[in-house]
Amino acid sequence: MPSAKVIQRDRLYLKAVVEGVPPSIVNSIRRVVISEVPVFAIDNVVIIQNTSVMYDEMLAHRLGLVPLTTPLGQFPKIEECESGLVDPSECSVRLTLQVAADDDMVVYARDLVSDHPDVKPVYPDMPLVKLAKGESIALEAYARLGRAKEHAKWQAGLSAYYYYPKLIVKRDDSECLKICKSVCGEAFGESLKEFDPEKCTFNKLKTCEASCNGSIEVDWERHKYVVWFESFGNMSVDEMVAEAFRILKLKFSAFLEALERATAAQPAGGQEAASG
Amino acid sequence: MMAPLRCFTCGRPLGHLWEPFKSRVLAGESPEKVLDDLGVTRYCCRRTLLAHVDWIDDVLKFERR
Ligand SMILES: [Zn+2]
Repeated sequence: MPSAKVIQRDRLYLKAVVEGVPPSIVNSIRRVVISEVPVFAIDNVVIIQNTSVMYDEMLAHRLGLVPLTTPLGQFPKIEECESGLVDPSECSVRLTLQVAADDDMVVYARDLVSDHPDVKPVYPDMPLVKLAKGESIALEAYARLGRAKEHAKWQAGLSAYYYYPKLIVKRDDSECLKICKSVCGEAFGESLKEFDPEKCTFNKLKTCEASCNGSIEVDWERHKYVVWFESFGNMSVDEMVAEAFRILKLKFSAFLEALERATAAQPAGGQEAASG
Repeated sequence: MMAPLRCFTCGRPLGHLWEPFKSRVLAGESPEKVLDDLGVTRYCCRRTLLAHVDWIDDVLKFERR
């Protein structure tokens, strides 16, 4: 039976020990988090005026990279937006930027004015461009829900995992302990046997194995992993992971349906011939 | 030109950290400690902030007249 134990968590970060699933499942979740969880990002910019030193394209590119808060519950599901089931305007939000420099100034992400109270820059202090006295910018920007597989500006966060390390101590070796402590200081106590696998990664442990002349052997637990998720701030890590699971389950059911259709369409004799 | 808004490699938002990073390093703090303090843990993100050169001011010189 699969299980997960959370070992570290705050609003944007989650780390857990996951047990009892094949690596393909853990990897699927990782890939969905990285490239399929939808967030808002500016995708269309109408420049009314731009006398800054930045080209329109450059300014638009920077606007696109500004992370925007994404309350998924208040908008249609991403599949509905992509398939055209809902009007595209329901999946987008308009923002405006209007600045005129009375003196030299920096334009920040906070200067973007959003039409939607819950879709706004996550980090208001991001500098967008510098203006000299007399320069001005006026533009309309349209943010829409999208996925990172289309462009990285829609990336909700990151996830990665490593196999749960298993340390086999062959002999006590103070020199080896010194090396291992320099690689993974927090994981080791007074001897090689006092080891906390959650404080050292599998790869780091392999590094210390390689310089220990056979005093230790590093193996890994089958079907046990340390998995971490990091949200870029568009939504909490909990919401991000929940949405990743929703999308993954949807993919699984779409796959099963396609498989059932394919097998139903095949005549009964065809299967025998194939297996024979 | 201006500080990158995200890490080129992993996509983590970084733009909001440029100004605190710059002012603290110019005040004499070690960049290593400042990056640790700001929670920039991955080395891709650390190099993105560390290697940035802000040269928009050089361009702005030609705009002031
Ligand atoms: Zn990075």
